[in-house]
Amino acid sequence: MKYGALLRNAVCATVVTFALTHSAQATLRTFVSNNGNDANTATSCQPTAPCRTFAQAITVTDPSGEIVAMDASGYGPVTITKALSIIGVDGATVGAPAGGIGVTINAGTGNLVVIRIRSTVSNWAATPAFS
Amino acid sequence: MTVNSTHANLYNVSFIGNITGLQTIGAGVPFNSGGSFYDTNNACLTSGACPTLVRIAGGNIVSNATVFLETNPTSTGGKPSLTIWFWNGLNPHITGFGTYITTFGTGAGTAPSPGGYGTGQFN
Repeated sequence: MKYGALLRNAVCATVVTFALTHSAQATLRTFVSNNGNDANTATSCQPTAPCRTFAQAITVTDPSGEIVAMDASGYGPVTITKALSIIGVDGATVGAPAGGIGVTINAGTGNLVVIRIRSTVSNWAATPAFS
Repeated sequence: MTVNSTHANLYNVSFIGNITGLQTIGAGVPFNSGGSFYDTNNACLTSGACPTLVRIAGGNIVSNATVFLETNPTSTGGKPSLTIWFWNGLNPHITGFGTYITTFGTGAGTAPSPGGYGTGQFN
């Protein structure tokens, strides 16, 4: 009887631990896609179940982590408040709302934000536009 | 895009059809400082003396009414501090704008144009 109670408690503790560690766990790398769903924050916006918007993906991305935009699409406005990288394919966009701001970076001193679009851009200016 | 008192590196990021393409808010780095200044200047990194800098490599900046707006950049030697750098040799392609750059608030000025381009290494 006593052993049974201990076993039940152990099983309950295991289930609780599993639930806690597998619900919206922050991770170093998250993903967004045109076919994503923001409900997938529950599983941390992983490649097999990406999120739809930067704004939701960032909530489950660790500081100094990165969000990967998997395909060309609009991913909505986002406010970045921690060190973070956003990496996207060519055509990954943020459409600013009318009269609003598309990307707000307010990560604070000492935090570096990197946004990188993986594409080849031609027509470089031959000389600096200003100096 | 608005960058408020943060260091940001932008690679091949394009700004298209905005009222303001990129706004920075906060003190920049001293005029004529080197490209790797904020990577190596501990005071700049940690003291909050120059918290705002956007380094741009590549990208297309097209059809923005104002391309760059610096708000409260502070000044160095009477000149607006720099909050926007271009990666040397990988300048963004900028065209179709109304106003190229304007400054506002603390340190605002008209000459020399804030900006420039870095020669250091990006992180």
